[in-house]
Amino acid sequence: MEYLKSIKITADNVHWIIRDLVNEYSDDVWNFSFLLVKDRATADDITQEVFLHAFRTLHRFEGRSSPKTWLLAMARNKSINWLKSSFIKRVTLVGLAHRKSQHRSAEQEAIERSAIHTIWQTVMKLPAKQREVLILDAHYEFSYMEIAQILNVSEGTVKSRLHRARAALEKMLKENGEV
Amino acid sequence: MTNNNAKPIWYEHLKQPPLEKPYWTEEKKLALHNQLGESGGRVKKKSPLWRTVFAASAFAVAFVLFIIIWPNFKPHNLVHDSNVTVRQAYSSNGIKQWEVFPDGEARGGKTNGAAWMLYMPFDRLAGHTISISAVHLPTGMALDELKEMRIEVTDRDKYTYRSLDGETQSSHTRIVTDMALPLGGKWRFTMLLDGAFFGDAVIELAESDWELSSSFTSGSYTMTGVENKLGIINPGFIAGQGNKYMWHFWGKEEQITGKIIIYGINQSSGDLMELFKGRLYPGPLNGADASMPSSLTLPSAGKWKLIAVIDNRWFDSIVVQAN
Repeated sequence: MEYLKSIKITADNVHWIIRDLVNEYSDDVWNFSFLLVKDRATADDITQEVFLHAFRTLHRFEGRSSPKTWLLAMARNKSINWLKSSFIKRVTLVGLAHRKSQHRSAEQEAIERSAIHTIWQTVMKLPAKQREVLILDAHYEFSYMEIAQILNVSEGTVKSRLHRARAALEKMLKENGEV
Repeated sequence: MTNNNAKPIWYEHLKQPPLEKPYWTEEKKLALHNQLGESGGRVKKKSPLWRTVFAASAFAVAFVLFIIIWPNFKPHNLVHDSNVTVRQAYSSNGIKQWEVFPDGEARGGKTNGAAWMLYMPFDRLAGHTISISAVHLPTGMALDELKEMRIEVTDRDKYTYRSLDGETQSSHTRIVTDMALPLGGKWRFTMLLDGAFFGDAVIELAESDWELSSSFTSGSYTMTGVENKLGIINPGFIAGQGNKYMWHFWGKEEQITGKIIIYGINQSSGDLMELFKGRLYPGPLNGADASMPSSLTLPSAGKWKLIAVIDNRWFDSIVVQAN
C-alpha cells in the first residue's frame, strides 16, 4: 500500500483504495481488536466500524503515518471505548450480567479457550495497557515510534510500559511452568 | 523496524495469530466489501438498544461533521462527468509515458482487444507489477481491465516485439488486454505500477447492442441469453415484481469462479443498478458449467440489459423486456 503516499484521494479512487485496505489490513485490525476486547463478535463489529470510518475519513489520511498504524490506532480507540462502555454496562446491570455470565461459563469458556493458543491466553490476562503495548511490539513488530503513535503516548511511556508488560508476562509464564 | 534490545524467547510464539482458525473469514471480508460498496458507510444490522443509542449519537456527531466537511468532500457523488475529454496517452513531466490503442472501432459489449504501449524498455518494467482499472464515467461502474500481475523477466518475448527491419524495439514495452466492457460511453482507465498511480486515459466506446437476447435450448430447458456463454431460464419480467431466475454459465473454471454481481441498466433512463450479488462456483447443471439461482426485480418497464460481472470482470450481458 506504498502507493497511498503518492496518490491523491478522490471520489473516483476512494472505492478501490478502501478495497485494498480491507484486503491488506483487516486481519490485523481484527486480531488487534480481538486481543483487546476478548470477544469475537465485538471484534467483527469493531473491524467493520474501522473500515467504514476509514472510508469516510480517507481523504484526511495524508500519508503521515502508515495506513497500518492509522487503522490500528482507530481499532484501538474503538476497542477502548467498547471496553469502557461495557464496563459501565457490567456495573450498572450487575445482577443480570452476573447470572448470564455464570450460565455460559463452564462449557462455552472451554470451547473458546481451546481455539486460542496458550501463550495468547496468558497475554489476555494482562491489564489492557500492558497487553496492547506488548501485542504491538511482539506480534506486529512496530517500532517504538509507531507504537507511540498508535497509543498516542510518548516513546518513553511505550518503553516503560513494555518493560512492565514483559516482566508481568514472564512471571505468569513461570507460574504456569511454561518457561 | 524492530526494537533493539534483547527479546524474551516467548516473543517468537507471539508472532503467530491468536486464533488457530481465523474467525475473521473471507465471507466476512466479502460482506464488508459489499457494505462499503453498497451503502458507502451505513451500518445495517440488528443492534442491542445501547448500541442503537450509541450509533444514533455517533450519527448525530457524524452528521454535524458531514455538514461542515461536505463542501470539500463528496465521497458518493461519483464523478458522473461525461464532459471529460478522450485522451489515449498519459504524460508526466512533459514526457509521454504510455498510450493505449483499442483495436479497430471499439464498442461496449464485446471483446475489443487493446494494446498498451509503455514508452520504456522492458528491463525497466521486468519484475514489477502492473494493474489497470476501468471506470464507466456515466454510471460509475468499476471493473478490472487488468488484474494486478507481475511482468516476469522470462516473458520478454511476450512484451517486446520486432519491427519490420528485424530489430527488437527495445525502447517500448507492449501489454495486451481484452478491453471487454459491457457499456458504451466514456471509460477512464487508471494504471498502477507496483501499486502506485501511473497515469490514466479516457476512451470512448461505441454504444453496445440493445437487441433482445435470443433463445436457445440447453439440457431440457429453453434459455434466454448467449448460447454457450450465459443463459437464464426466463419466466418473463414484470416491472416491480420479483421473480426467481436460474442463471447458467459456460466457461473455463477460472472464468466462472468468484464474486458475482448482476447489474441492470434501463435503456431509456440509463440508470445502472445492482440487482443481485453472490458467489459463483463451477458445477454442471442443465448442460452449463456453472449455475446460480437469483431473485431479481426490475423496477420499471422497458428494455433492460442484465450485466454479469464475475470477479470484477465483465462476463456477458442479456437484454430482456420488462412489461
